[in-house]
Formats: sequence, structure tokens, C-alpha cells
Amino acid sequence: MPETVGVYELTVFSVMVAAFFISAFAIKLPIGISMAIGAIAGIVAGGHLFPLDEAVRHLVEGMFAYFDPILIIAAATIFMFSMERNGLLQVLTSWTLRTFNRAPFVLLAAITVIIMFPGMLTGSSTAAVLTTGALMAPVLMHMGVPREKAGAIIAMAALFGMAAPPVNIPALIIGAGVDLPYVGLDLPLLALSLPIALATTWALAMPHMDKAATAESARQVEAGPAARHGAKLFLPLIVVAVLMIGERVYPEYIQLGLPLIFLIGMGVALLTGEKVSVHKVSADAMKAALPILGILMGVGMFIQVMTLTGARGEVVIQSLQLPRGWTGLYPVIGTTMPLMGSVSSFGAASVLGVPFVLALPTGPEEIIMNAAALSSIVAVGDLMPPTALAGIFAAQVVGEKKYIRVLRWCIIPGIIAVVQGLLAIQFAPVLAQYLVRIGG
Amino acid sequence: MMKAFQDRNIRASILLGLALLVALVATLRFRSQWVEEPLYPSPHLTEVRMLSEYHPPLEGTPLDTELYFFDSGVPGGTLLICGGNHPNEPAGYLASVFFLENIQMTEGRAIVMPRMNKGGFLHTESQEAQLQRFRIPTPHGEREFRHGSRVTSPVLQWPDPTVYVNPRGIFWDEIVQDHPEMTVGNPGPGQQTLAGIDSRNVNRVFPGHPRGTITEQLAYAIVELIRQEEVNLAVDYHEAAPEYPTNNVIVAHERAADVATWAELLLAGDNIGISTDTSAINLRGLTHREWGDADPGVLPVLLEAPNVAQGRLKGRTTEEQIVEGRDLAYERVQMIQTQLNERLAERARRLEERGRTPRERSRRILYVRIPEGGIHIDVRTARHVQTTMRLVESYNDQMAGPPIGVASIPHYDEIVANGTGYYLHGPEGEPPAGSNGEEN
Repeated sequence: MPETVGVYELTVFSVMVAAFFISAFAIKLPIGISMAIGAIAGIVAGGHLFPLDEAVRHLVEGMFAYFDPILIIAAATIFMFSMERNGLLQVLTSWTLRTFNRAPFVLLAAITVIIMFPGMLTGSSTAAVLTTGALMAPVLMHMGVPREKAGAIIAMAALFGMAAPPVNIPALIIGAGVDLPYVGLDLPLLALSLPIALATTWALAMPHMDKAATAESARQVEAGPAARHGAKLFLPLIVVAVLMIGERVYPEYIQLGLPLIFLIGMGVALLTGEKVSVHKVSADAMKAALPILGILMGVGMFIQVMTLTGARGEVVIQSLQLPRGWTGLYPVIGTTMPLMGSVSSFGAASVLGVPFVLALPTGPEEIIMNAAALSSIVAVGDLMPPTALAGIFAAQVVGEKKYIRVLRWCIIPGIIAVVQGLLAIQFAPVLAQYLVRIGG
Repeated sequence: MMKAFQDRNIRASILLGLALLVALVATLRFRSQWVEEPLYPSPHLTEVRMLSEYHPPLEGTPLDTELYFFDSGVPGGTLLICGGNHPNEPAGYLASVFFLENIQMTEGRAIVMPRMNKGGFLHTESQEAQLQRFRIPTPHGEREFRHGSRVTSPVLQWPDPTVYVNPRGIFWDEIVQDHPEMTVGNPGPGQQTLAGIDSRNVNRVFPGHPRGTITEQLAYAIVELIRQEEVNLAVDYHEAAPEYPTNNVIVAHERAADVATWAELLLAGDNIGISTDTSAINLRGLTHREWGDADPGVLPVLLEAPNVAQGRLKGRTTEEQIVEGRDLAYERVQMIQTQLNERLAERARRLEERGRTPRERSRRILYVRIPEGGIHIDVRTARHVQTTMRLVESYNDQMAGPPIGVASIPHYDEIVANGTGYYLHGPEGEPPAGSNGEEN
């Protein structure tokens, strides 16, 4: 049906995608630069090059879309590097293994919840990977979990932490788009995140658990020279945790923002462990984080130009054309949301999540269940390349150079998470009776 | 040249220079939006005050805004007309400018606040790819108006919290004491959580806070204005995307519901289809809810008209989207919705023949019918103007408060036939062609 397809929009979008692929894979430019080239190609192909200053305004405006996440990532990476360099990471690994080596099943559950925790508080999988994820990475590997699988466990737990209550930003964004108060979402979000997070960790790690090997490993792992600093070594973690929780519990008194909290954590780490050079740790962290920061800037430009040329609207329009059900709307939800999440899960929540939640039944309890389910599906987008925030940083914290190796182990849990979300939509009327408590 | 580019320092210098050039061009373009367009009040203006008179800390800040008083000299009630709550909703702004440049009071007085959130006029939203200005033709030439964002500029308030908690506690004790019925189903102080970006959306932060963020202080000052000036009827103009369910509607505080319902019937006589929604008690922070809760003397209403330029399905960004309300993407969606509903009906029939219950019989993608040729800004502005006039008539008919008399406002049909610009001053302040009175 040609009259229902936007030829101009799809043509421009094709040019943008082609320019991106040529830049990234033929010329082998960095992904962030390639996204920017895709955006510029869209501006030219769409006829928006003139006035030139207006074209520049759109590119710069788009570039700033993820300014806040960029600061969070930069600060969290510096914090992670400082914890590693001051010896905290090694001491914590040694201590955890010595204490819990006889109960790997319980330890794995605890590790999962610990990795999820910063994501639950901040709504950011990156924050989870780069903080508690980084702490738990050596523990997992010393327990015998292969590097790639350890990365996958961290990526998935962080992602489910992002989807878990009390803070699920995609759910907030979907709610804001349909005037749905952020009420009654806690139980549905918990039901869609915690069980699958635990199951994923156990499924990936348990085949490698060997109590004798873990005990042997626990004996071998030295706490390192930083152990002499004693309990004060843990102060950076405590300070960051207290400030993160404080921000949630007493928002009227504590409003520092994650970037500042992480930088305060870094400041404390400098004073409480082995000697660390601020300049070196900051420079190394920025060097590690720069590619992903570039990708976020490029992605921002890309989406801005998609909107400018109508390609963003066209993607949504084409997604809404099917009837509800497993042969219609559900597969579209299950594919487009994570795919668009590859550019930005928050952007996908706003652009696709809002029309989708309106295309599903909108009874007062069902809409909450559906919003929770959609937000859990969109979170999977954090695994999708090229951004793949959770995957890239998880690979970084386990020391795996090719993040695709980590992502490989995330495919099945990711698909299960999407199917679980779609089943929650299918059975929303029944589930809502048990899980949604709107209250008075 | 290529050899020089291979030198790391030269390459870095060239790229840095290029980045600075882009930054300069973008800065000039962004700064151009800080220039306010002139507004020309009607000759019946009696006084101009600044909002900071009601909350002095706002004085000298970019959010302090003009209040235009039109006093008939005859005792009566007070009408408050507000535009620019969301500066990306241009017909809302234009309707308030229309009153500003044409109003004459015969009983009581009117206060016109055309730029409620001046902080939203200073920028456009990243990823929405909006234009910065739009033009309205007048018989004397084109008038330019700024097209902004629905939130305060991040230059004025940043960073956003992860989750925004509405500060409605400041009037809670009064509500408990004076209106215990309002506490039923009411989330109460510190209980309304919203997306972090809503901390900069003035229509989510009412009743504001005297020591809060700059947006909360703006909201607080507006509530103080309503309380101190004993406003009787308050009208807040908005626009909504066609896929947003609250559209072509008067949203009224429960005390204003009778006035709104009677106005709805009067508007039916003008061939204007509109419905009345009662303000939800569990979605806090909006004008129609908080103004009425904070001041038992005011009847607050919020008006919505459809605007394709702010939709998620919108096509290529053009000035026609804003002014003519025309967008081929939405026309396609209209067609897709018709075809989808035919398919759904056929599918439902087939399922019922087999004794099965269909999951979906029909779907509304759009909540407003977009006619061929669009919904022109003249129509959207005229709707707001005519609805305001009928609300005043209804208020007087029902003796809802001291009488309010407004004269000299053209009828909906005249505005649509002649265009809004016919009733506005020219770009240099030339008197409106449709003016009824003498000039300043």
C-alpha cells in the first residue's frame, strides 16, 4: 500500500543508514563519528543544509541530548578506575571469596542483587556496571566463571537493575507521555526483573561452580598491599552508597546528582587506599570512556536528524499498523523497542513506548502493567549495538576486548526478557489483579 | 597538506579549530532565541506589573514575566488568561497574545500573562528538531513569534533529579483544614513522583515552593498572584499531539466543572466540538488541579487544542506544521487508522464466526481527526478564544462569582475567516486591521 508509506522519510533514512555503515565498516571510522556522518548525510539528503547555521544548530542540539548520561558515564568510569588503582577491588574480592566460598548458590544471588542495586536507585545500567559490577567482576572470575560469562552476568544484572523499582526511567518517561502517575509500578517491575536476573546468573554461572576450586581460589587470592588500610579502604563505597540512597530518601536535602557523587567517591578513594595519581586515573578513565561518549553524541545527532526529516515519525507510524496479538503488534513491540533502544532506551521509551502503551488496553490497572512490561522490554535495548551500554562496559570491567563475546551470552536471557515482557502484556488483565496496587 | 594532517598536533589543532567554529555558529543561533519579540497591548491596558511582585526573589531572573492588567473600573470579578505555560504549544501563546492585543473589560478586570514560562521560550528541546520561530501574516507584514520548549532552559536549572517529587506539601495543612474531602485519593505531600525532566515543566511543579528551584519559585509566584489578586476564573492555554487522549477538551477543577460543562453546551451552538474532563486528583502539579486546591476562590480550567508539530508521529519539520497544522505524516496515519480498523473489524467478525472472542475490535491511533489541509493555527487559536468567551459567559450565567464583562472580542467564525493576524498589531506596532478601539 504505497500511499501509507512515507517515501521521502524512508529515502532519507536509508541514506543516513548507508552513510553510517560505509563510514563505520568500509572506512572504519569510530562508531560515534560514523553516526555523526550519518546525521550530516541526512541533513544534506533531506534538503536541510541551508540555512547552514540552522543545520549546525540541529546537530549541536542533538549532540547535547545525552549530556547528562555522558557526565554520569565519565564520572562513574573515573570512580571505578580509582577503586581499582587504590587496591579496594582486590581486597574486596579476597574478602568476599574467603567469606562465602562454601555457598556459591547464595553468593551468586547476593552478587546479582548487589550489581542490580545502583541500577535500581539510579535507573542507569551503566552506573550499575561501573560500580558494583566492577567490584563483583573479579569475584565471579575467581569463582571460576569464564571472563565472557562474567561480563554477561554483570551486563544482565545491571540491565535488570535498571528495569527494577524504585527508579525505572523508561517507565517514568512512558508515564509522563500519557499522564500516568508513577504509582503502582513497583510490584510489576520487581516481578519482571528480579526472578529473571537471578535465573540468568545461576544459569550462566552454576555450571562452573566447584566448591573445592572456589575454596582453593579463595586461599590463593591475596588481599594485596592495600589490606593494610583496613576498614577505611571501603569508605568510598560507603560514601557513594549513602549519597545515592540519601538522594532517594531525602531529596529535599540531598540533590548532588550522580556525576558529583561519583567524583566525591573518587576523592575519598584517593585518601583511603594506595597512592593514586588523580591526573593519571582521570586520563586513563577518560581514554576508556571516550568511545562510548562519542557514540552517545553521534546517536543524539542521528535521532535529531531523524526527527527533523520525519524518519523518526515514520518508524513509529509503520510500527502501529498491526492488530494486537502474537501475529501482529507483539512481535513489532518485541523487535522495534530493543532495536531503537540500541540508539537509546530512554529515547525508545518516549518515541515508541508512549504510542505502544496507547495502542494496548488502557484500563487503569492494565495500563500500569503494560507500561511496566514495555519498560522492561525497552531496557533490553541497552544490550544492542552500536551503543550496547551495558555490554560495552561489562566487557570493560572484566577485561574483555571484544564486547561481542560478552553479548553472545546475553542473547538468550535478552530474548527471554523480551518474551517475558510480551507475556506480561498478553496476560496484563490477570497479572494486574495480583501485582498492581494503585492505592487510595 | 595531507602530510601536515598526519602530524598529530596539526591534526588536533585543525579539529579543535573546527570544533570552535561549530560552537561559535551554534552559540549565535541559540542566542538568537533569547531575543524577545515585542507584544503590543490593547489601548485598554491599565497597568503592567511583574510577577516578581508576588514573590520578590524572582525579580531580575529570566523567569520574571509581565502581567498585563485591564481594569474596567466597574466592580466585578477577575479573569486570569495564561499563555506560554508550554512555549512549544504556539496556539496557546497566540491566544493569550490575541487577548492582550484586543481585550476591553466592561465589568471587573482581566490579567493577561502571555509568557508564563519565559525559561521555556529560550530554547528548543533536543531530539524534537523544532523550529525556533514561526510567522503569522498581518495586513502590515509578518509578525514573528518564538517557538520554544515545554520545560525551563537547562541553562537556568540543571541538572534534573533522577526522579522529581512534586513539592505540594506547602498548602497541605490548609487543604486538610479547609477541604478535608480533597484528601481522599490525594497522594499528599512528597508523594507525587514524576520523571526528572518534569522538575523543569512548570505545569508539573505547581503549587511550587518559595525556596525551591527557579521553576518551583515561578509556580509559587503564580499561585501567590492568584491568591493575592483574588482571581475568580483562570484559563491556561495548551496544545496536544493528535495521538494524546486529552484533546479538544476543557480540563476543569471539580469546582469549575459546572461552568465548563455549560460552556461546552454553548460552544456546541458555535459548532465547536469540545468535551469537559474533571481534573484527576492523583496527578499533581498541574494548573487545573493545584490552583484550585491552593485557592478555594478560583475556578481553574486548562484548554487543549490539537497540534501536529508536537506529535511523536510528525513528519519533516516545517513551518507549515506549526502554522497550517498540516503534516502529510498525520494524514497518512489517518488513512492507516481507517484501514487498520477495517482489518480489525473483519478479523473480529471471522473470530466470532468461529466462536472465539476477538482481542481487539478497533483502535484509536489519533484522538483528533486531522482534516485534509490540517488544523490551521487560526482555528486552534480561535477555539481557545471562543472557549474563553463562553467560559466567561457560563461563569456569569451561573453566577459563579462577581460578574466579569469582556467586550470587543471577535467571534470564532470571524477569526477563522480573517486569520489571527488580522486582529494583531503589525510587526512595528501598527494597529490591528480588525481593531475596534482607539490606539495607545
